Amino acid sequence: MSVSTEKATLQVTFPKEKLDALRFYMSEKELTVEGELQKHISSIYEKYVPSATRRYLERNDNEQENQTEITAPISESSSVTPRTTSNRGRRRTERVQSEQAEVSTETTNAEEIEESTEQTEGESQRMVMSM
Amino acid sequence: MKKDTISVSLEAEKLRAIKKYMEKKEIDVQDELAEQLQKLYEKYVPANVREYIDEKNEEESRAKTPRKPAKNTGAATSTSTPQE
Repeated sequence: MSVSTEKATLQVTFPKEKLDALRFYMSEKELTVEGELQKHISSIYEKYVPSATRRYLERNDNEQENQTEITAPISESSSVTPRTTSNRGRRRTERVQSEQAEVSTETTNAEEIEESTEQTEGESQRMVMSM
Repeated sequence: MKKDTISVSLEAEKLRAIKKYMEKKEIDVQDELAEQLQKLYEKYVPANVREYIDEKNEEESRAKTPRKPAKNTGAATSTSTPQE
């Protein structure tokens, strides 16, 4: 289904000098005539168009939002993730290797310590026996 | 007095809906906008400035309109075309 975002223009005429004055005093308050009329149009829209009709008309906006929400993660995963995974993969493997190395050294140390404690225990037992 | 145009754009479908529902209540969108513009003018432009602009416009319109012949003058002058 094609989404129509066709724009329409509303034109209002007003005495030039009055409009100049209005623009001048509104600009002092950082406002624009067009902006204020735009706000008024949206209030008219909410006032006169029933909420059910508004929801129906705004379905296209929601569809567009949903589409962008859906497409955004796909584009990210397709373009960005392979790089990150490769880097992460490298880092992970490096980390794992270093951890394994650390673990192996720790285990050897632990084994050595155990052995040495066993030896000392054995020696002390022997000493006791001989006593 | 010279007129200026202000354009406001919105989605065609929304404008169609506004017009449809406003027609049912016999209200015209453009009249509504013109009314709002007048309200903005009265809200933001100080009263003395508005008065100044109105007086100036009146003077200008008076100067532009051709002078009508005076009522008390005779029949000869009333039939003659104004020279100004």
